Amino acid sequence: MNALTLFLEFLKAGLLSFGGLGSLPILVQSLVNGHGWATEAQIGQSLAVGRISPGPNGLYIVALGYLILGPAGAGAATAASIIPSLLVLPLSAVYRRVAGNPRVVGAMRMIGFAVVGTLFVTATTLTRAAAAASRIDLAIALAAPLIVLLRPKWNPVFVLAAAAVVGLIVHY
Amino acid sequence: MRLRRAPIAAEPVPRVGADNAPASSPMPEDAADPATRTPPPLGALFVVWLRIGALSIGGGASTLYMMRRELVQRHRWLTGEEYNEAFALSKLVPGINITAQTILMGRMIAGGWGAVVCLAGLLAPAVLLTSLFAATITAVQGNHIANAMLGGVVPAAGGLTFAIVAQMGGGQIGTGWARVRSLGLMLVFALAVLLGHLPVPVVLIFAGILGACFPQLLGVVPTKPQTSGAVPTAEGEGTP
Repeated sequence: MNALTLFLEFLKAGLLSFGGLGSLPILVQSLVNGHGWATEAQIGQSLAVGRISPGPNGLYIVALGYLILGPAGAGAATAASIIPSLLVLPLSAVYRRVAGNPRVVGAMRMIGFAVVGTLFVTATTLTRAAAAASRIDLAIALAAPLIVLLRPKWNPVFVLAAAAVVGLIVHY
Repeated sequence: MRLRRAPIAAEPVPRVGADNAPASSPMPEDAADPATRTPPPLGALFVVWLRIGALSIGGGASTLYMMRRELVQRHRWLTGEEYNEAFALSKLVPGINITAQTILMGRMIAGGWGAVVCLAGLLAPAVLLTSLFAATITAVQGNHIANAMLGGVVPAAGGLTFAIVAQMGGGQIGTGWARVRSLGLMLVFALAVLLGHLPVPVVLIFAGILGACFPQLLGVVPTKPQTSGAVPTAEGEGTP
């Protein structure tokens, strides 16, 4: 594995998915289960970093790249995150013809369902990996989304900070 | 919006400074006509995007809010219509939506270099801080306190993926029968990965083909063809 092969994995995940975390199911499958370049813990760490840092959450792949391969990995991930978005330029030229096409609308909607379905599987994978460590970790993994969903005005960053405090008390 | 400027007609004194809208703005809300307005200097554009990139903490919604406030309401570099078009288009391309929207809005504001400058401004703070945090995690590996804290953060971050699934899914499922159909389809795609062990890209591509071949399955129906062509409508779809 080097920066180029890592770049290609990130690029593939970006080109074949929609939305910030859409790439996550593909990357967990390829990097964790497939190549074994990353661990589930590293995925969790990069998701946390992506949440704490400003900018799109989809840039969690920059943290993941860094954890796997250092600055070169972060650079590879940054480049890979830009390229799929460039497709918006040619698309804007044909927008008026394409946007209302029933086949395009149907395809986008079905892909939206598939992104949600596959991301749900990834969420269970990450939670199961956390639960393997301890019961308390499982409780944290289940409580965090509940809090965010029930209290939408609370910034998720504070939920992560609270989880850090709980971790400190429980694990130290 | 609290930062909205007073209408120009009520303010006879000419305003200066990068924060102000061009004096030629015909409307308090909107930018000048895209065809005739002059693009802002690239330096000013970069600074504004740097601010958007640095201050949009907590994910996509806050970035979208910042972008609209700065570009449409405060500086009036874009019309609300242009913003909406960029938003809609960015949903149609793969990858991170916000970077696509940034590229497009940058080009609308100041051409090709505008796109480069806006993207650089958005990404620079995010990439620097993300790398810095990741480097910190690498550096503190083996430290007991850091490990204990990460031991709490990692499960929480993983679990938060459920919240994103719920938020993303909630925006798409529609109402009534459409809701049952949407949830059923999401379940089928989940099972394809969980039990069928299919690669996720295969599932996504298959979903796209399926939706393109049978749009009527999803309630996407073209209305009666008119002189200007068919305009499809879709049930259960919110407007951005």
